[in-house]
Amino acid sequence: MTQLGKIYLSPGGMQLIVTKGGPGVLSDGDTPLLRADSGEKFPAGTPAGATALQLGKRYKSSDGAVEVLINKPGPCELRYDGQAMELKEAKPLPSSD
Amino acid sequence: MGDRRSRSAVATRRAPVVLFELLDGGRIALVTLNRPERLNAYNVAMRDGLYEALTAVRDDPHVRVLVLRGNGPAFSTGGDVAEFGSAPSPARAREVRWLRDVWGTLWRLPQLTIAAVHGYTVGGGWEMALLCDQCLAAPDTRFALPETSLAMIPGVAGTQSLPRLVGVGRAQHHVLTGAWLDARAARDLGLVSRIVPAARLLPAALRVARRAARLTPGLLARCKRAVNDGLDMPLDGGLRLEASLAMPAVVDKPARRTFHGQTAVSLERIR
Repeated sequence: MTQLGKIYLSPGGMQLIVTKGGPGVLSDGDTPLLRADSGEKFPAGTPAGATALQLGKRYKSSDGAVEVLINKPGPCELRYDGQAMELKEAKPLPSSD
Repeated sequence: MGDRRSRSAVATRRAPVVLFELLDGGRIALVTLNRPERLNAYNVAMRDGLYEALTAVRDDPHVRVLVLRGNGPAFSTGGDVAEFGSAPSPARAREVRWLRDVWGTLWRLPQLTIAAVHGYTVGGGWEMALLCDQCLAAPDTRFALPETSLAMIPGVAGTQSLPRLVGVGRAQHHVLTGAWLDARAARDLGLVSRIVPAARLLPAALRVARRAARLTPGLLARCKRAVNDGLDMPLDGGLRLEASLAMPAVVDKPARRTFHGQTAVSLERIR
């Protein structure tokens, strides 16, 4: 369960907020992310993904149903239900002046 | 400077035009306009970078205070004249402003917003600062709304924010004439809360931010709502709003949950 408004942690120290929730599981590669309020910790030596996720960027699941906001940058191979999450790009818009 | 999360570019460009950082364990957001070679003139890339940063702040419940500043010799000279007239059509321009509402997002942030300004703070640059809750200025700050000299209306909410802060007559004077205002005059009008030497501007803004960030997030947001929303109400409505927002702070935790419900109901009535 990926819960709206909850913060999740990756083994590499990346942290995100769920802005659109869903029934599936967030993971770093095959390692499920931990909810920050669970009090759990990753076992020492848990591998972290290599992709550097940047502060303020948003990612979405392949069907767009689940979205997250990175609020602490770090390495992570971000997946939702095993599928790689995509960087959410803003739609290009022209000048309004 | 406490816990400083790594700097991130939020606009995709070789030199990011907006820098976004989280400080103090994520409680303070620092957003920096970073187009110093153009005096931080506001272009499409800056619009998109600011929108991304402001919506990230809006959606992060840990952030309690936003500090907005500019890199280089000026805070911002407002809209980039090189892009003036480049909108595909007036209708499309209006649609774009609606779709990417940077100024509405800044104004509606529940977090305390602090502008730390210096040098030219002009047009949309001044209007950006006017949308913030507090403004600290360096002694060299020069404010103006020159849009009418370009046959334009100040379009970053200046016609609405300025009269609410200084009254109709003074606001019309600045809107219609583009008259310059220095930091001391702006402080005398209540537009600037403090004048701080340029070298100490950011530390001073962060001190104000840290003091505010020590308040519980709910209290900070309620105080902001009481002041800002109350300004648009008759006094009677404002007093009821204040009473509604004040209740949760003085009762114990179980009762607070009930009061939150009642507050929501009474706020709906006010609207």
